[in-house]
Amino acid sequence: MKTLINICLAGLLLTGAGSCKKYTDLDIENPNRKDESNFWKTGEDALQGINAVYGNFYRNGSPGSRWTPFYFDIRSDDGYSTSPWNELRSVGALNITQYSFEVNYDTWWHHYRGVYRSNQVISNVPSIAMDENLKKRYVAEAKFLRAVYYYNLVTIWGNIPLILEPSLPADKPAQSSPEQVWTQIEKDLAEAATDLPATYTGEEIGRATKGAAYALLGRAHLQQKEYQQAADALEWLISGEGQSLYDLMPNYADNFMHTTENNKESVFEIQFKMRAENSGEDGPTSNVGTSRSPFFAPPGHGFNDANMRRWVVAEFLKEETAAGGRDPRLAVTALYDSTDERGPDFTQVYGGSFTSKNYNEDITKRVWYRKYLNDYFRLNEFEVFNGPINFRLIRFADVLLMYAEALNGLGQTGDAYQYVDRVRVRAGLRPLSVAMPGMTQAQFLKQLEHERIMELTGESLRWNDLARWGYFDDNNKLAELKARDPEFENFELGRNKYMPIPQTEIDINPNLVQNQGW
Amino acid sequence: MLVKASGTLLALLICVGLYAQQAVTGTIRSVNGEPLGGATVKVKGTQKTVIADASGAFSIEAGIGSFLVISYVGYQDQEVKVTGESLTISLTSTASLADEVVVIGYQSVRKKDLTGAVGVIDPGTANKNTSNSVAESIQGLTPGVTVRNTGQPGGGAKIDIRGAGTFANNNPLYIIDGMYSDATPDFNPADIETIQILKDASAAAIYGSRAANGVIIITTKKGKKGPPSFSGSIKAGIQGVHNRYDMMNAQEYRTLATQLHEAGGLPVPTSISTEFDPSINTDWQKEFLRTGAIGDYNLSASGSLKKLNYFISANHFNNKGPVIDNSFSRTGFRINTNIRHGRFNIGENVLFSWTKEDPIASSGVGVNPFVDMISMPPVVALRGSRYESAENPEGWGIGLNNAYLNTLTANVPALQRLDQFEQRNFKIRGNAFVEFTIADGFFYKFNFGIEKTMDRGDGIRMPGTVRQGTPSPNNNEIGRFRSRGEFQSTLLEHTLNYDKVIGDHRIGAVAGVSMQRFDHPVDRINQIGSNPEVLDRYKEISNFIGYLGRVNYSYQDKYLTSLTFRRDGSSKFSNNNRWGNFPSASVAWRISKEKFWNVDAVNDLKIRASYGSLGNAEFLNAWMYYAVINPFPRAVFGPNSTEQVGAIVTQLANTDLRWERKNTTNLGIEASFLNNALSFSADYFIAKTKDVLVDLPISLTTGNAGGNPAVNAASIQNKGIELALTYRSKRTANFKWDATVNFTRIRNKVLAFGNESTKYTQIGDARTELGRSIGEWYVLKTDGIFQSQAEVDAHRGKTGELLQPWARPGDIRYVDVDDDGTLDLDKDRHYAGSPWADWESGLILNMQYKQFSFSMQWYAVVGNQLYNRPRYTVDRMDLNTNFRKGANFWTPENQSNEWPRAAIGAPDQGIQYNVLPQSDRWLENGSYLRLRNIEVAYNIPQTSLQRIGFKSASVYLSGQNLLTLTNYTGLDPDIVGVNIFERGLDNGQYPALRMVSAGLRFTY
Repeated sequence: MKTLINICLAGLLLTGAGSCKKYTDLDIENPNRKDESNFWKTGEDALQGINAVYGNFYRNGSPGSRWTPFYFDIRSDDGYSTSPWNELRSVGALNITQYSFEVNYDTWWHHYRGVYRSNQVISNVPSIAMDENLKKRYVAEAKFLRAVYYYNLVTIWGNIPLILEPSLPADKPAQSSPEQVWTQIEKDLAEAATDLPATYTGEEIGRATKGAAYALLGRAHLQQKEYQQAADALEWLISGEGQSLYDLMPNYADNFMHTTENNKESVFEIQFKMRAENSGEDGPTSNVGTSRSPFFAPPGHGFNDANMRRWVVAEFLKEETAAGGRDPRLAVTALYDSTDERGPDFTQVYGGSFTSKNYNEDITKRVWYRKYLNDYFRLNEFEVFNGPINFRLIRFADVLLMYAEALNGLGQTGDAYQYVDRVRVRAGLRPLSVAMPGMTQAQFLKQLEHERIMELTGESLRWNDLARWGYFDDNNKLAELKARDPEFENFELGRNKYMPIPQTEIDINPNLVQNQGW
Repeated sequence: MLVKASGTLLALLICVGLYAQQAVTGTIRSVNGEPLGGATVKVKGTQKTVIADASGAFSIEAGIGSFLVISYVGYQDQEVKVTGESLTISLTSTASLADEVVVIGYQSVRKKDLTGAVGVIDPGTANKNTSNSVAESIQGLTPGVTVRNTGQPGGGAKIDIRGAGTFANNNPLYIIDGMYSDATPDFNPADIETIQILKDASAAAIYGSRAANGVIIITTKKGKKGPPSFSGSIKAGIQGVHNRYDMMNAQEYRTLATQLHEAGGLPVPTSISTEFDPSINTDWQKEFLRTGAIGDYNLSASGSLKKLNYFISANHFNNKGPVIDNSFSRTGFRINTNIRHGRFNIGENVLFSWTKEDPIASSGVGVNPFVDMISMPPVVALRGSRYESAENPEGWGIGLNNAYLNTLTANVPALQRLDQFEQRNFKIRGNAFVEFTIADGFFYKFNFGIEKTMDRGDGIRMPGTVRQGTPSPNNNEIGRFRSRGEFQSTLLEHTLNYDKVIGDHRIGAVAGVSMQRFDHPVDRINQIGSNPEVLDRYKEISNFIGYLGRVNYSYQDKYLTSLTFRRDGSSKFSNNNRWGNFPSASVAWRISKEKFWNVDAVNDLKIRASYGSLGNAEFLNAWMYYAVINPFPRAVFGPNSTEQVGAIVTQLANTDLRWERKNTTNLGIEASFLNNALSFSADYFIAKTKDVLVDLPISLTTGNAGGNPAVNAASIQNKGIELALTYRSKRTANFKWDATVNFTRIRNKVLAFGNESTKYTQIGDARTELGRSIGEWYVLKTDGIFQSQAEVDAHRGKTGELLQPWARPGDIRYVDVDDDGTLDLDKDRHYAGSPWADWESGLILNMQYKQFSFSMQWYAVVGNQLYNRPRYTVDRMDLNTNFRKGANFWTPENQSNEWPRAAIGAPDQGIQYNVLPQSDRWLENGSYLRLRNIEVAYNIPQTSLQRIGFKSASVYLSGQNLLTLTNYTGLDPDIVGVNIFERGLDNGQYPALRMVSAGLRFTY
């Protein structure tokens, strides 16, 4: 090396340029970015790490953003797509042939990105010398978030790789059984529930809480019909230590607006913010809002890619409030010609009457999902791709209904009534104990199906509800879906319960087996 | 070498004759009018010889009626009869002349002494093409060199030397006047004096790890001793896309689209029913394309001032592209000088260039200009009040997402206007050197090279949406983008050369060290509306060190050998994998020099063999061997939606990246016959590339984002044959001609993947599998169309089950390729063709008759399969696009074996299967034969020129790509591909252009 420097010097003398080591050094420090050799060293690094896991929520395929509603709502019996984009339509129509098209690809991908980021925190933060309480909290937050991703992955695709360590480029993991994935979800959530704080203050509000972990744990158990464990977990929020923290908002609509976020009904929200953004991912001006609403808004304000089946409206109209009026949740849930019961002249569509939109006959008959639309402030404007409304991943009304379902599943139907009543009374309906007392376990479950439609339609819960209630495993129950949604004619038992894994993944990873029937 | 010749040889007059005869005077010039100082003039049949002075003038004693033989290195000999008058002799350059000298990197050798595979290109031929870049200009001119054009103004061509030796960046190394560089479009092809292409390992080994993709050595013109000589050229022409898709007009579209909507059970859009407006009939190709123009102006001066030789040139090239709002221009100045004083030779070559490019805008989501221009329905107006909205204030015609009109096609003429981007670069590129002669044939050279670029990109995106479903970007505010980059590459080299002829032994040797540093800081500044500017600053730095040595030895010009060694280190690898050793050896035997060789018809016969190892790391950027922390993720929390900073690894990295290594064996033969009129060369090579570096897609389950990590992915093999045959006619008084045919056949094969568990990799519809070629088409196999329900019912697998139970008459029949009794979208794909040509061939023909000259270049590619994505887009017919004229769909009344059942909206599974992209329905034969260039020139007689002081002048008319014979239905079969794995994918590529130009060349 010395000779080299001498030779170099001779050259520099002749040219009068720069220092010599500059030319001979092959160890050049990266002035732009840190790397793993100088990161994960401080509490600040740990905080930035866990923040980056939350930062993955701003991708199109992440939970509660643009694409997951197509799996959980549009694919189910209350939704259908009229998109001019044939592949997107085929998700709802249950006849997808392009397994690697953008939506299926991104949803799979963006969920695993969340898993990878969570794994980095869980693997790297424990060895940092820092405040022990914060350290525990960060790891617990990461475990909660990992469970959020795996819950979607296992319910959308069923047979998925379970990855718990930071990835390496050559990894080609095999699938785990759904049972193994559920076990891990439960383990992560139980550990998270232990270490997470019950509340946050100020600028930390919105992070995962103990209640969020228990609620998701309850949801996971309930989905597997493990009623006792579900009830045990949910109890913390209803009658346990957390009971004072949660209640229903008096105004149902407050659950779907950006002005009333992180309220007492919220158990966990994905936090969105509307600000100037450029497309692009994890760059200096990337989106921190949600692009869900343009895909759900009616023509003129969105793409009309997603529509609600009209039977949902009829279902609402089956029961009046105690005062003899319409269920107020209908107007919050569905946008259609009579969202205002006085009809299209009074129904407001983004600041103009339904009539003024001059929709043709075909479009006039449509119903749109109204929750999470920005129609209350984008007056006479097109929807936004950086919308501000936090997605309520879990809200307390769902917790109450899940708890009721768990108790009913345990044979404690009588006990279960009171929790359904809380939800109904908020909407102005008579308590179920008054309206329909003394139901059997089966009748009560059937009634819960109705209650969940009334309360939760459009909140990306329907598909898993149907799965849990056995509609995808039984031809008789499937016939009910076909009656409500002709797209279920394409549903094949043993195939359509799960989506096909993107073909590109099968092509890259020989250890993956395509889901049955695809 | 010419510099040396003119610089060192004095204007001597040596008279050896015994007879007192009259003095004959004359001047010797090249056909281009350059004086050929140092040319030898010999009286035929005597020993009487003189050498021309720097201005090409000579005087010799010779008798009237005797003949003079004029010879000069690099030119054909010429015999002239002495008439007593002053003679003006012009010599024609020849590439076949045995004493031609070629530059092989740090050394020059006589072409006849080559032991490796080197292609020499005549810049005169290359310059007949109007090209953006050097690479584009040499298509078809030498075997083993595949050039594919993008056509785009300012766009470079893709060049493969001996096939795809690697997966990613297959561009060769360019050495311009000794500087490691690239011949980007800022380089003026008219400045080129010589182009050599080093194809095999032994030829390229001196460049070690930089040379695996081959090396193109360019030397620029040097000053000639003597009074100033000026030369110039002016060229002007028009260019355009030579082909159009034949698309439906509004009436035809209306009929078919109505039927397709009805077939899909969708309401017929009112734009083609109740609100149909016959006045709207937009020809989107016409709105997007235009007739482009080129102007190319060159002026240069060459000469010497005392001991200083100089060459100065100025160039302006202007290309108005064949697409609206698309242009490229270049202005360049070059100053090359050298001065010899005593033992010193000091010189420099420097180019200043300014380029300006206005590229095609394609930044919009889902926009693909050359696909959108055919798929936009003709009932959409370019602009109209109907389309106006807050998001689309100028009312550009798009799908409206309502009963009137739905289409996801983009209005690309609108995007061209809304998205304005201009890239301006200023570049200084050059080198300076000092040569010091230590002893005869032994000299030291210090070479300092520099390339410095100041890049400015300025973009503005006006509000406005150009596609249904894609909002006006930047929240409907004005988006501004600026980039400010500075690239600097600095080269320091020290070499010692030794050249000696001792009796029958000829020795040439070089040893040295080469150091290069790359510095590339870039600032990218984004601004949305009146929001604060956001700066993203990044600086890329890398260093490179190489030790090099080579010995060439020949005995009696009969036995030749060359040994090369290079050791390279790069900062792009981790400490453990940084250094690589790259040796090579080659031998040649000139059989025709052997005593036993007495075949008169064969003037020269040489066989060669070489083996060598080359490295490659061109794919890598700095610091790719470890993962970095991405500092940009943000998380929103709290009542005020505060953004908190996040940081984490988002892109994975392979930490054990190492040199890609290519081992090449080359066998060659060269022969010339019939007094060198006919020459022939053939090469056979096997190149095995190990540890190929590429960003192979990895599993999405890794959670990787921001690009696939670089990896030593695979080993591949290229085997090939290259043949070239040249005939040069004898010159008669008025007529001569020459012709060259070359032929290339290359096969590639994947030998191994870096990861044992990988057997193949699939990107898009192309699969790269162990033991097969890279990126073969891997798609479903179609077998016609079901014409009846009976045919559907008869289509059963071996188990007797219906293979397509959902199918209806009119649907495509797919073959159960794996014969397992079910049709499976994955397992029933098969290999349906290769994107690689069976062979390629070039033909060059030059003729000269009196003052006229005529030349043609033909180029043929045979046997490759292309995927026609634009056709897929408009033929699938389940989306609302325009359709090709004559398009149709199957109905019971209108049965067809070409057009399957179709419907917009794809209501059933049968139609979903008819539109599958992974089907052989979209593959087409990509073979073509093209008249690449044709030129007719008239050399104005010197008698008429001398009065106005010109030495020579010619006018010419030239046509490029005037004729293409192909069955490919796309715009152009000369496809670059999207990446090496999808090499045959026509994804709406900017097509090679047709051009007609006229020009004038002169010397003064």
